[in-house]
Amino acid sequence: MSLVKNNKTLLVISLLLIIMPFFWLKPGEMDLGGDGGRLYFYDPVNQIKNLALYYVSPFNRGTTDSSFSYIPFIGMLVVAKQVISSSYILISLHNSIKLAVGFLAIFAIVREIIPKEKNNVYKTKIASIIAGLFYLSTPAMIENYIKAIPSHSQVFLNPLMFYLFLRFSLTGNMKYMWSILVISLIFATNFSWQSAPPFFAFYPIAFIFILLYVRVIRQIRTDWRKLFTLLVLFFGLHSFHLVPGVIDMLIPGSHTNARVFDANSIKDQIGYFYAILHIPNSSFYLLSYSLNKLIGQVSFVFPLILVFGLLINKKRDKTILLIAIFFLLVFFFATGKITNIGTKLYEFLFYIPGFSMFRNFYGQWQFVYYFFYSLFLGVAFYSILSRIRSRIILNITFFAIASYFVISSWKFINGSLVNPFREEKNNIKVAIVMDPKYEQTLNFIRLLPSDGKILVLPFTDSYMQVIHGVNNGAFVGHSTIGQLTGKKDFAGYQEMVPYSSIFWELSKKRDYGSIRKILGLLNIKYIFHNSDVRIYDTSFLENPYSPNYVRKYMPSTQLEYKEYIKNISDEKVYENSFYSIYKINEKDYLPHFYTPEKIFVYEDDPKLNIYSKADAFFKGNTLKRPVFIENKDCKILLNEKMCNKRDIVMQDNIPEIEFEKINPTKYRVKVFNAKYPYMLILSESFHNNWKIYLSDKKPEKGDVVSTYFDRKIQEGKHKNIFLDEKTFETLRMKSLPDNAHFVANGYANGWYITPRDVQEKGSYELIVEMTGQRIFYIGLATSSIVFVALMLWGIRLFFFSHNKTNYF
Amino acid sequence: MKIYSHNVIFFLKKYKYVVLTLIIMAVAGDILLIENKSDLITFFILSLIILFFRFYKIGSKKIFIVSIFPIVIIFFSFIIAPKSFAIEKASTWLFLLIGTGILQEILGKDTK
Repeated sequence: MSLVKNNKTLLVISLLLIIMPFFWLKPGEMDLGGDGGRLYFYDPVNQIKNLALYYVSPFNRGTTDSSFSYIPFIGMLVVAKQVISSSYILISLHNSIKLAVGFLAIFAIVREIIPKEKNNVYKTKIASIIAGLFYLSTPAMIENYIKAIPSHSQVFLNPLMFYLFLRFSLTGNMKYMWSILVISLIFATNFSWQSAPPFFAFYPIAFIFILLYVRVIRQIRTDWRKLFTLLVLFFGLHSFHLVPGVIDMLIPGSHTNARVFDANSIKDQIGYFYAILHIPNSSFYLLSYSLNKLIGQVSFVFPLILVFGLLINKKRDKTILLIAIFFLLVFFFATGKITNIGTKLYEFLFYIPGFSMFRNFYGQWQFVYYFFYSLFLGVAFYSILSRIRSRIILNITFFAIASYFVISSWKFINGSLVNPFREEKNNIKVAIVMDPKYEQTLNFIRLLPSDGKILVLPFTDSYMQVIHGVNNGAFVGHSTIGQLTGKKDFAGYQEMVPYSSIFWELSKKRDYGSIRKILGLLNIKYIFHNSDVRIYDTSFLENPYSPNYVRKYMPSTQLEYKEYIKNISDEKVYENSFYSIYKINEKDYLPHFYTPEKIFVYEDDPKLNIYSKADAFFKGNTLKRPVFIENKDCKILLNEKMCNKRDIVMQDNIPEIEFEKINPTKYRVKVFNAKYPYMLILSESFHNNWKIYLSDKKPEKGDVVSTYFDRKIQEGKHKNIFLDEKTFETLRMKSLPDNAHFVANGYANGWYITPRDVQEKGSYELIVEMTGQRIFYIGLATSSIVFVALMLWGIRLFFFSHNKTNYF
Repeated sequence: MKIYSHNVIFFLKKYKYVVLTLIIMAVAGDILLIENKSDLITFFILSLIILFFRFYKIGSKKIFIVSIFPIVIIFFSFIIAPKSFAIEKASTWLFLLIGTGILQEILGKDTK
């Protein structure tokens, strides 16, 4: 690349940035945890299979949540892992890219926008390097590597995409457009609905800046046709994840819809905004000061450079003014408290649909802020340097500031910030070397024939799981079992909705009978217990096992957990070192699909929050195969007289069913001897897009792996077929009426099926499908076509183009 | 009335540096002496700055010079009292002064 070819300093810095992350972790170690979790570096194949391909999440009740945007990046990791099997190397390489590309992109942008003057090439390079180093050393950049969420790639993506788009706007060269599209596809997560806040914080402002810069300062006309082409290709390429996201946003009642449009929800967001307003300090942002307290005061130099840059701008160059305006704008967004009027204005912005995504404003705007700060600093610094004639003084200034960056970021450079102690007194660090025995346990779970769900113990306050490695590190992140085995799991309080509170209360009272019933209603068949004392008895005494929450209700030691599990399970089916798996009694277990014998009708209590909703209906009764439905749903399905009875016994001749999983979004249910109306329950999180279709295929008994309730319910051999010739078979079929679909057991899907609905047949096959998955297939087809066209176009652009100029 | 306004203008022109010093002291006073954030005071002082800088035909560059004062206050406040409210107010003033200077520069006739 000619960017580095003739500049040894630049090359040296880039190489150092690439090599640095390899010393943060030891070979074999992995930094995987946190809210987002980065298990794809560890096991990309299973992550793609269980997390990325389907519209149903692999966690707890199977909420509808798409992670399709992960497919390109994790797909690349699958390929990369064939060549580089070490997760440590992949993680380090990823961090190297963040640093080196982030630095080089800022360097290139500042070098591009600094006004070209004769004999000032050296000063331009110094100013650009300082801007790049400043960008890397800012608090937003160095303090977020630990437990980095997927959108953290914005640290290099933002400047890289900005530079490519700037060059595209200045030159009209289509190679830049091609690069933008391909890079955006690889890192599709950063352009997905999940990353909406960082995306909308940066790209609209960056786009407007570039348009103004190109038009007003460089006086080049914008080629709107090429821009429109870029937009169309972008949407075409990203259809596979954007289309399901847009549709989800438009569905009334969905989580995304409420966050964007619900006025009550907006008031909550404003309340949250004011609650955290005191956290960011304007001065902290301005000074961007060092973690090293000894030299922290030196950071006042940076706002001084900005002011001097404006002062020295004698020729009234518009570039620095334009950057300064955008700098002030993002400073306002990042701090939220430039005067009381400014804060009030900020509050009004929340009424713009979608703006409430910035409720965590200081976290989401900081990356954009430091980006523009770096550009401003680079251009202002150049203004100052352009007045210095002596080369010696230039070099001294450069080395002084560069040394400041190195000293102030030393904790980051030496890896202390990336791999700190989780639990300092017990010497437990963030990076983990996975226990092979845990990997064997995961493999065992993967091969379990039943798709019953798993309760993960020790139970946490939220949804986290703790695993101690064979080194002095521990993983603390979103539970691994669902993501890596395909068996949904419940690891914490937030996942047991609507039974969260009642589960804790019953656990505190040690009411084991009722606990088993709740596990049955949640389709939990197995209990995974990690009996390692290092993760519960001696460490992690606060987070995620807080003494004010989970430890108040659940067993307080691993020994007590063993007693607890003995009373809620039937037998141990696996043991390997700390890891054991137990099976609950089949009398209490309700399979993934079941036909209830008794209906309990209840009135919902609107005062109960989502974690306590089960208090309205669960009274610890011990009858088998129940279903709980709300009175309002009962009246639609049955008649008012029956619903007033509060419990209804179904007809004796409940049909036999046999169910098998095709994939997490599609099941076949074979029904035999159905004479009367009955209810069919699917223990997955309720969603209107779960539909039932009557197949014209005659049901035949298949291979059975488990039977329940005297063979009334049989579980077939499960598969995981993403795409085959039958994927779209339900397109021509009519689904059961929507008013036959109701919320069962406070969270699940229930259908009331009458003989009329199934053409008076006694034996038939039903297909139960999450129709949201079809939208993904359509989007995927669109994206695939655009991708192939893009690749062919790329070959033509780079290999057969007559224009051979180096476009960097 | 006309004689009165002439007298005021003459007085302001005669004591130009006194007036400007008082305004800058007002900024420092707002930062260091007034404990709470008052938009009335802040924008009143800012309006005076804009008014008198235009009255005295002082260029935008001088506003940038004034904006060095909040930075100096921030520096010393961090050493003396790192958690003082003055630091936040100084940051707000820096923002307002830079913004005002930029606006003045853009509206100026000799922009490149």
